Amino acid sequence: MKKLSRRGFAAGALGSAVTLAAQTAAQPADLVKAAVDSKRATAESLAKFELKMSVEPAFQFKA
Amino acid sequence: VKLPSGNDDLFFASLSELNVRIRKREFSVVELTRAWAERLEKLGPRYNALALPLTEVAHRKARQVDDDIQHERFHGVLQGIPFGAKDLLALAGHPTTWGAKPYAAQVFDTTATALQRLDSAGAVLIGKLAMVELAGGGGYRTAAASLFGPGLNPWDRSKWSGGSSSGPASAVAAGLVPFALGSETSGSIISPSAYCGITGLRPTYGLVSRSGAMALSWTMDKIGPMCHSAEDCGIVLQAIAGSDSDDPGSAGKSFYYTPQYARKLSDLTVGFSPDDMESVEASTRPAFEAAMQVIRATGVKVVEVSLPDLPYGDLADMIIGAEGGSVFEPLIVSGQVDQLVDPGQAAGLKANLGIAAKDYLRAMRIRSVVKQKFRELFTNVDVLVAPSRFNVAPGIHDDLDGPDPPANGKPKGMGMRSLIPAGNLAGLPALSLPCGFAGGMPVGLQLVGPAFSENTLLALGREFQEKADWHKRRPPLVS
Repeated sequence: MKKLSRRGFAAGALGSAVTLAAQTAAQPADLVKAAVDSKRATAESLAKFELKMSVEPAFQFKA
Repeated sequence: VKLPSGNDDLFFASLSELNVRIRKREFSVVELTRAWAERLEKLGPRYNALALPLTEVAHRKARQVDDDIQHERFHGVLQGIPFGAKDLLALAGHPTTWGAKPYAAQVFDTTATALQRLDSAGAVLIGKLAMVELAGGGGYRTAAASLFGPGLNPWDRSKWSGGSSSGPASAVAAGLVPFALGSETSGSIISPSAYCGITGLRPTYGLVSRSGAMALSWTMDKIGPMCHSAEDCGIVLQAIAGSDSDDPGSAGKSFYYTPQYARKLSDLTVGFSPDDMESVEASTRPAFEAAMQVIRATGVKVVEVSLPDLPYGDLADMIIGAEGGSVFEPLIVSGQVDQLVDPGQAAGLKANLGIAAKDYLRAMRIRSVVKQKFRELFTNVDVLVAPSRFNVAPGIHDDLDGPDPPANGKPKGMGMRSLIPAGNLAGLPALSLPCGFAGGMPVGLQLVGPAFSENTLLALGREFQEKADWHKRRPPLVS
């Protein structure tokens, strides 16, 4: 079974979806590309949301 | 005393009634367990609801409980009551598959905290119940996305049971277990409860320990009861809730089901959006309108509200995707992810692994805004009410990624269509109540309140079920 590196996925998600799809022979390439494109579209949509600098993420580290 | 055979009434009895009959020695716990276990084993596969029968384990436990009762060591309402659990909860020494082929042989040496607590209460686990593979963490497109096949709805086996707690919903609806444990990250208790016509409770985030449960999203996963009634949900929640040092997300709180101390319903303000009645699938509208009349008849004050306009769906996708991608990184990089039934889900998991930290953190910062907006909303209302789902259960061959049912008319605002992801992002409790039928299929109404308002939701749910009997309807059993 083909191994898939995290770096490969990151590259695919952030850069070239085509590169990512090419690594996933066991997977229909169009499904992976569609999923990557969907994540990118979600990220772009959320990037438009105006946030004050003071807003912290909704989790806390507890010592 | 022998348990009457073919006595369907017993299989739909409330938990309190079962407990009373056990204490009266109408039947032993061993007899009761045998009857339920045989029923689950016989009928569970017809709905693809059974993941693993636990008959031997159950009979051992039942004998212990009978001994306790014989010696008047009473432990409460759940003592001697059989139940089932979604197969994402670990039971030491037995397979826990998470509904997915790559984990089909997985065995843990510890038992989930929620199961330990039910064991202490004297409840008898008779089987693990089916689920959508990995609770649908990659985004699934087909009802068949499960090691156990598509969850079949007891009201019509050509329809889906809903997911990802498919087995618990079907099993409770068909009277194969008196109650079950399910889990929800974003809709996995509320949706199948609505589609199968049962009562499901999603607790406040952190109220029930997730220790021993499959992680999909550390900040959103919840374990909750799926039952016939609000009353039963309250009883089960009391047993499974509580602080747990093994769960980093534990709220450190207990829960006591105290309907006698609940706020007077006439003091409650319930928020409702008329836009929802325009958005629901046309066939379901009469049922929802009738259900809202029952809500009003409970004495609550109903006011119009709308959800704050925030990107709930995108936020849930991003947060669950990023956390789930990290959880399942070993599965993905090994290539075993391709053993999943749904290639769309495998593709989604692969894409999740590429989510950038900045995008996840932005989503978590916007999530803080969601929490704040809900805090403000709940200064004006005590409970939100909306359709659990805006349609009836889809067919088992339908594309679950297909377009939403057409809105009828033109809703003026967004209403509460996004209440499932919104409530989950804010960590809020929700109670889904059966509220009627459309074309012979059940529909459900959800009540959502502020964090730790479970007793308020249950009190309103209980009164709703006093005034309407939709939760007592039974599907046609294939025998």
